[in-house]
This record gives sequence, C-alpha cells and structure tokens, in this order.
Amino acid sequence: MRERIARSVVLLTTLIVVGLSAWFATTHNRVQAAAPAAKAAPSAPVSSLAEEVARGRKLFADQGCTTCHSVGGAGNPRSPLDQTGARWDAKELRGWITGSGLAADMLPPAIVKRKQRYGSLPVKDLDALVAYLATLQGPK
Amino acid sequence: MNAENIGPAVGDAPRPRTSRWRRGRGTVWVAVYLLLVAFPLLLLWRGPVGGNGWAWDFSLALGLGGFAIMGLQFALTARFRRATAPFGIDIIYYFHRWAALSGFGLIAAHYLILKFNYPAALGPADPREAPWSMTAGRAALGLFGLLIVTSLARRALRLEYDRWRIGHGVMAVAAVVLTGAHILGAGHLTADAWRRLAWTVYAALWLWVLVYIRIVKPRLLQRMPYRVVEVRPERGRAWTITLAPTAGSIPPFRAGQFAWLTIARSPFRAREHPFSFSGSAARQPDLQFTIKALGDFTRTIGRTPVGTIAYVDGPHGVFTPDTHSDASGFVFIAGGVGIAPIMSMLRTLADRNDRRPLLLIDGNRRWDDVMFREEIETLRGRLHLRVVHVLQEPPPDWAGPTGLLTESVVRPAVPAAFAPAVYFLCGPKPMNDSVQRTLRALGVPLHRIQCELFDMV
Repeated sequence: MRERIARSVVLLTTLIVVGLSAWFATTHNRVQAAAPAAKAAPSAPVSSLAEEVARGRKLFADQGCTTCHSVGGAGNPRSPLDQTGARWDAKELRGWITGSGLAADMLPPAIVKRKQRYGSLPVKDLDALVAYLATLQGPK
Repeated sequence: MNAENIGPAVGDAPRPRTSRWRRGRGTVWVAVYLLLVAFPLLLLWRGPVGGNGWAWDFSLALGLGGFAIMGLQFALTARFRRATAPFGIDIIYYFHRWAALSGFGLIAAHYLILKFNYPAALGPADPREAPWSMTAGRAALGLFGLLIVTSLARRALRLEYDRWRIGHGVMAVAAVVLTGAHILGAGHLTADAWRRLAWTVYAALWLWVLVYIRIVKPRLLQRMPYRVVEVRPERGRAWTITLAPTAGSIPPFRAGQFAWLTIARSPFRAREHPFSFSGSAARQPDLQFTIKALGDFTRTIGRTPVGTIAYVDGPHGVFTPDTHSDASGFVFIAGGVGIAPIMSMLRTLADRNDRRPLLLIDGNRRWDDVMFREEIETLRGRLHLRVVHVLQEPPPDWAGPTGLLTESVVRPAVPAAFAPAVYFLCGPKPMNDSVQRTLRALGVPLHRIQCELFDMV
C-alpha cells in the first residue's frame, strides 16, 4: 500500500520526464517538420572523379566522421553536411576537415584540436574526402 | 539541513505533529523533487539546442531526465531528516528502488533510440576507437544496470551486506560521474556559457551532497561518541545494547524512531546499520537498541565489550505515535524483532501515564522466542493494553491464535472499538504487505497505517 504511494510518485516523475522530452523534441523540430529535411542522396559522381569520390565516401565512414556529422540522415544529425559542397570550395572544405583557415576561427578550440588530427592523413586521402564532400550539394 | 544533527538535547522536546502537517510538507518535498528532476530538461527551453530531428532530441532529453533521477538518488538516501520526515523511511526506500528502475529505463531508452536510429553517431563500441565521451556513456549504462541487479538480487547473489553497501556507493558515484562526463563530452546540450554554468551548479549540488554524506556527517558524529554501558541478552536470539553519551547527545528521539549505529569503528568507515530505539523516550539521554542476530554484523552484537565506543546518527523516521497526538487509540502489530520500536512506544506511553486504549498483536515462531514477554505483562498493569500473541509453532496447550499474521488471524483480533485507531506495523515485508491489505479491507484509511520495515535490501 505505502509502496504504491512511492510507485505513483515515481510514475508521475517518469511521465513528466517523457512529457517534457516529447515537448522539447516537438517544439524544436517544428520547422523541419514543415519542410522535411533534405533527402540527401548525394549527387552521383561524374566519370573521372567517380573512383575518388567513392574512396572519399568510404574514408568518411572509416574515419568516424559520422560520430559528429550526418549525410542523408545517417550519422549525428547535429552537424549535417548535406549541402556542404554547395557552400564551400575545395580549399575551404580541406580547412574544415583539418581545422585550419576559416574553421579554426569559427569552431570552438576543442573541436579544432580534434579536427587537426585529420591533418596527418595522406594528401591523397584528404583529396578523396574533399572530392566526396564536394558532391554533397543538397536537395536538387 | 544539518543543523538538526548536533546540539544539546536539553529543553529541546520534540513537537507533536499531525498527519495534516505531514501531508502538507510531503507535497512540498515531492514538488521540490519533481522540479530538480525537471531542471535539466527546462534548461532546454530555448537557444542553440535541439532541432536535430524528433527522435534525436527526444532521446537526448530522456537521457538527461534519467541522469537527473539517478543523481537525485544520492539525496534520497542522504538521510536529510527534514526532507524524509513527512514520508517515513519505508516510502523513501521504496521510492529509491522504483526511481532507480525508472532512471535506468529512461537512460536505456536514450541509448536504444540512438542505436536504432543513428547507429553511426554512436561510433564504434570498442573503447580504443570510440570517443571517450561515448565510452563513458556506455560504461555508465552498464554500471547502472549492475547496481540494480546487485541490489534486487543481493541475497540470491550471496553478497554480504557491508560489502554490497560499499560497492553500491562506489559504483553509484562512478556511474553518475561517468554520465556527467558523457553529457559534457558529447556537448550536445551544453553548447553555450549559461547552460554550462547551470550544469556546473547542478553538478556542484550533487558533489556537496556527497561531501556531506562522506565527510561532514561523519565529522559531526565523531564529535559525539557514545559508550556501551550494557549488553543484555533477550529472548529469541536478540540483544539489548545500552549506550550512554560521553560528550553531548543526539536530539531527543520520539518513541518508534530509529538511528544508524556504528559500533567500534570510525564513522568514516561507512559501516553503520539502522536499528530502532527500543527504550522509553522519556528516559533519555541513554539509548537502547534491541538487535536480533540475523546477519553478519548483528551476530557479533552479543560479544560487544562494555566500554566500546559507538556513534549514533539519528533520530530518523516518522514511525511514532507522537505524529498522531490526536489519535483515539493505537494498534501495534509486530513480527519478531519488529517488536523493538513498539516496545519503545509502549514504554514511553507507560512513562507518560497515557490511558488511551492500546492493542498489541505480536507474531513469533515459538513461545520461548517472544521478546519482552514478561515486561509486556508488567506493562499491561500500567497501560490500557490488550495483548494477542500469535505463534507459528505453538506449544501443545496453546489456546491463542496460530500461524502467520494473515487476514484470518488479524481480522478477529481487532475489535470494532479499535476501528478509529492508528495502526503501527513492524515486521518483515511479506507480513507488512499482508497486514496492510487486511487493514485496508477492514476500511482503515492509508494515513492511519504506519509501517516500519527492516531487511529492505
């Protein structure tokens, strides 16, 4: 009986947490619900670049980029890269990968530090990553 | 909060409190609890958080709520008298148990939603490759699971109480610290300065609770040592231990309350055990505890030498007739050593020349096990007391009721005249549960049923 009192308050607490969580998720995603997120199918690579882009896509997965970024809804949705190719040129993209240039000014120091580790990747790999990211042009 | 724990007892008689006072205070503390749980979620109100997809945001918020519930578990068991007083320690411990399941459920849901919807965002499970904040989160989830399993199945796992208790404390601190590291490391919801500040204050609050339990409180206890002046055997493999103050005493207890007792060890060792006062509240500052040899610690009580130093953290609990000063009478239902707090009540009422009608239903295995049998007979002469002994293994010439304290035994033992009385139940959980059901079936409202449990974990 008295255990039931305790259980009721715990149930109330749980409902409040779930309710507030649902409220948070709903209010903060209203805009996106109205205009659904980009379908993200990255544009198909063109002939000569095809191999490099494919290698870049694989590197993107292997290097754990999806821990912080998403493409086409896969990965961490906090920092989507679906339109990154439309926003930045190749040089700027390289800077965003390695935490240099514009990225070094705009990002928090901890993130810059983390990104700078990618500066030690072979140049060919960085080129492939840039080539892949350049294909991400957002919804057509 | 801690000022109540020290200071002289002289002239500091406890005020009688009514059930209305308790209900009002209880509601306030439940509201405070709910606000503290909701706090991290309310921090999400505005700003550069969220908007990353419904499932993602929902999952992160669930995780925060689960963390808040788990963090508050420390405060629940920190024995803050003011906060626990309106409820009774049994409700607080039931709450602790159910809240742990709820918090774990929310945190597990947080993890599963992400794992199902955003597997890539979690990164690899291998701690050598995974980001440290994700490894911290995984480790915390595992520890919370382990905490629950080792607590619910302590007996089945044959974990000795003291070891379990220390392990429980260490694992709980580790799990909450790892969760905090996970939240800060993942950084999704702590992006801006004022949120980081709010989180720091929130974390500092829990750190303070921990420092209070492990450092401040033991220091306060250390200043007030008691000395064992008598160890007396009782019927039913029990012992009554009497303590006398040597330098100041705890605030006066009310009949039926309990204290955490540390015998022959430093209060910093966290080896205290909860026991009810069994002596009269009218005969303080000496303290008596009646302890049955049930576990590893209690079996050694009988061998405690006179002169041993002991520390007393108390009084605690609301299992006392003093919070029902307007009651027309009392019914006491005890199982085994559950008689200890009830003896304190009977002795106190006798010392106060209370003439209200009292009924004691005392369940034991054998006639020779009936603790305080002779004294209860004597008390009948000083109180308006009716006694019903119930035996599981009665002698051949036994005419009284037999068996456990089930409905068929309790119902006929409670005369109609006791219908408006306040009921005090103290015994093992199955007995308490069964008697509560019987009393509810007899129409006794919940606020007139008071319970004290032992052997919770």
